[in-house]
Amino acid sequence: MQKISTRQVYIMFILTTLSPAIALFPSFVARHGSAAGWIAPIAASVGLIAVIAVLHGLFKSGRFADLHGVFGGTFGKWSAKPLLTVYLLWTFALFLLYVRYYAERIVASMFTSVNPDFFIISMLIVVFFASRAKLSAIARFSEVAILVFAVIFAVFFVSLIPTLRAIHVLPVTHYDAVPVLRSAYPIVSVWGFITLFFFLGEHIEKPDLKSFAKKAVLILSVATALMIFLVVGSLGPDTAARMPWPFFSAAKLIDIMQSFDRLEAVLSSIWVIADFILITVFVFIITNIVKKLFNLRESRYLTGPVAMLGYAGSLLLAANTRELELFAASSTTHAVNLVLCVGVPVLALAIGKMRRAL
Amino acid sequence: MSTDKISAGYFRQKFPENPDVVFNEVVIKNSSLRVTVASIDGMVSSQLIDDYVLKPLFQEAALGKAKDARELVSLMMLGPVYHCQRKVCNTVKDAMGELLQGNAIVIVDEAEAAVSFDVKGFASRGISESSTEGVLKGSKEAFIEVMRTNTALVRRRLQTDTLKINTTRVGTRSQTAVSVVYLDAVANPETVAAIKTRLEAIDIDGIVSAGQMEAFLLGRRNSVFPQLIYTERVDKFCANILEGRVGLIVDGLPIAYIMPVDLVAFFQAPEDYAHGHILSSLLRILRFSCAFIALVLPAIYVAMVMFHQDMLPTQLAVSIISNTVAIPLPSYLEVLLLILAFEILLEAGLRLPQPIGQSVSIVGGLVVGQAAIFAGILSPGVIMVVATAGIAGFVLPSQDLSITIRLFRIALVILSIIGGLYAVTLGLIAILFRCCALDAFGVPYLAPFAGGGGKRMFNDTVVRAAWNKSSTRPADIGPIDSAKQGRQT
Repeated sequence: MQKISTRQVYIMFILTTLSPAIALFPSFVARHGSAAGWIAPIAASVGLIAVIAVLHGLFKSGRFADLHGVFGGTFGKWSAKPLLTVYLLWTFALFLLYVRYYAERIVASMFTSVNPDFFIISMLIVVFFASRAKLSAIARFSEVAILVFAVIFAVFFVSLIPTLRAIHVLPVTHYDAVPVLRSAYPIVSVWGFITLFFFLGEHIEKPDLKSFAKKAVLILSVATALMIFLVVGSLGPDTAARMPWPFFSAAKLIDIMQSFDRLEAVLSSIWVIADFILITVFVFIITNIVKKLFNLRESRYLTGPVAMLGYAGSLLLAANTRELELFAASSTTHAVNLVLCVGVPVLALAIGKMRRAL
Repeated sequence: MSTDKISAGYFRQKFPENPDVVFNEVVIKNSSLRVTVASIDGMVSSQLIDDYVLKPLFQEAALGKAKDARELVSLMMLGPVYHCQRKVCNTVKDAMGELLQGNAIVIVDEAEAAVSFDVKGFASRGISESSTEGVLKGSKEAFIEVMRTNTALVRRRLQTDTLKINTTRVGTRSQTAVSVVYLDAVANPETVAAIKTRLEAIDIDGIVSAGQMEAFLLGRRNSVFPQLIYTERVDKFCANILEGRVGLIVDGLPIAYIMPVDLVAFFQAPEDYAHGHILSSLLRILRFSCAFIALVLPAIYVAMVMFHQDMLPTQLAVSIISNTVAIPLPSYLEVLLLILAFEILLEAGLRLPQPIGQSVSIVGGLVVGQAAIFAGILSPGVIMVVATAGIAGFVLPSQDLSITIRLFRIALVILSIIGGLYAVTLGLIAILFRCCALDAFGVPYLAPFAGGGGKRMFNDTVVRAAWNKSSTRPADIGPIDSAKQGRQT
């Protein structure tokens, strides 16, 4: 089995957060954090560091290869299976959410009169073939994609600077501490996805989580903060809070040399790369959880059923974009995410230390 | 195992009606011993046979002192018949191999042995300039069809005892000589072993084309991406050997293969190393940009015109639309037809002799293109887009990669017709993902950008670092000695 490096895990993780980041963060932080909302990712990075530290604690002994093993070793075999089932159901729900979210975004930004089915089916076909390959292929793909996104972000940031209004993002005072922390809540919830990667632990070379962690946290928090800073700074917190896709609305303001504008279609199509990585990684995680849950030898043949259920489930998940947004932004969704991606690993670490199982 | 004994009769019987196989019976001076000199006319030098084989056999008194046939063979090896490359053959298979390779064999019936003399003299092309990889500044030497000449060219450039040239024969009937070339203290032994294993596993009657060799070397060849580099240039070959790669020289082919390689290697041209690193880097960036233009420009044009007209600057949109008003074909059909016409012109130009090929290009490209615009069949915008993409593809040093890009260009145009920029992106994802899944002899195809651990990403890739900053060999090919400068083993 060709294993992937911790560096590749972090790169995949950064890319999987890009789609939720542009869909959820700008409007949420603008609503709760107002002008100071852009600081929320910096505050959330403390939460991410804590999650990484917990995961490091779980795997540093090398006794367990993946989260399934950790749960079995700490909570006991009988508790591990139901817990794994909960993870499976929640990961699958997130998978459906992001499949549908991606399709709705394409419809909203590029093809307003096209049925989202077309985009869901076409993406799931590509994901189906991709997830039948080795995990190392998607890890390598992410390594190239992060370079593409670095360039895109750089162009996006530079192009949006002329539209920036200081009054939209400044001043920031100590009175903003509580709103900033409230804004950081969904960011930590999404960044908690890193925990889910460790269901793929057996595909990862010696999970030494400390290496590359600093760089990953820095890249993620700075890029997210900059993105929110420019989007909210260009549109204003009140406008950004009320818009379904403030990121693409900000992109509409870009005008390169008074010749090229309306670049949201280009951005939206490039963001398909991030969606592809997110959806493929979720398929890998789901099939691996199913493999562990039912003690299967092979998980490749599960990709077909997962893709088909993904298609049907994503359409049933919400009747329209509004319902989808309510589900994605609801406190319950973030709470479940936080419990499963942060709470349970913390509990596992505590019990594991007490039982000397780690 | 063959039980046949070496005798002149055996060889005469094997080649009964082959006038090119010549047998000369010689009676040794002052002796009753008889030998037969066999050679293949056209493959040997008559003068060499006359001067260094027949003359001593007829005239050397020392040979006449031989008491028996065995002693005669020993004497031939020890002096009287002096030639730098001689060898005793004790089996029919060995002697037959020597004869068929263009050597002369002296058959001594009573000893049931033969002595082979390397008197090859077949006509071959002289060392000339490369026809496909020309450079303004640099060596003009190119490989020819004779393997031994090619290995000598390599030896002349790499005068080190660590240079290993292991020769094997491939093809049960063609017995094509193939040399694996590498630096013993540098190349990854696993790669060398893998290549040798694949060569040994080849079970075919004959290797007559480059494509056959490539297919066997790559194992399963169901990918359209080139995974082997071939070169006519000796300097390029040697530079890659020095990097720690393994070379393959095949008798009968005026090219040599280099492996393992990644995608970036297909963007490297010999001239990059003749200029300073800044100029070379700019050229490299130009090549990568051209590859991207060649791949996506027609697809983006179709997507813009069909689905995303609002993204075009107003003046440009007006200009495109006004030019297409009188055109009876939709834009996507125009693009597809023109790409097809471009491919036809390209193929016609390749198959015809050079002067006629040039005429075809001029008539096809300029005359027919101009006429199509005047006749209102094609719009100038489409011609510009397809021609730009076509010419951008020719900037690439590798023809194999250029062909792959042409193939994907058509696929992306079809996708853009179906789903605009969205479908083009999905297509690019599929192409990139396929590249990510590829490994060539254990080296990730997109290394060092993917699978290379993030090292050497900007050293001889999209840009070329200065020589003093480029002190290590590419890590992804796993060289034993990674230092190119300073510490070396």
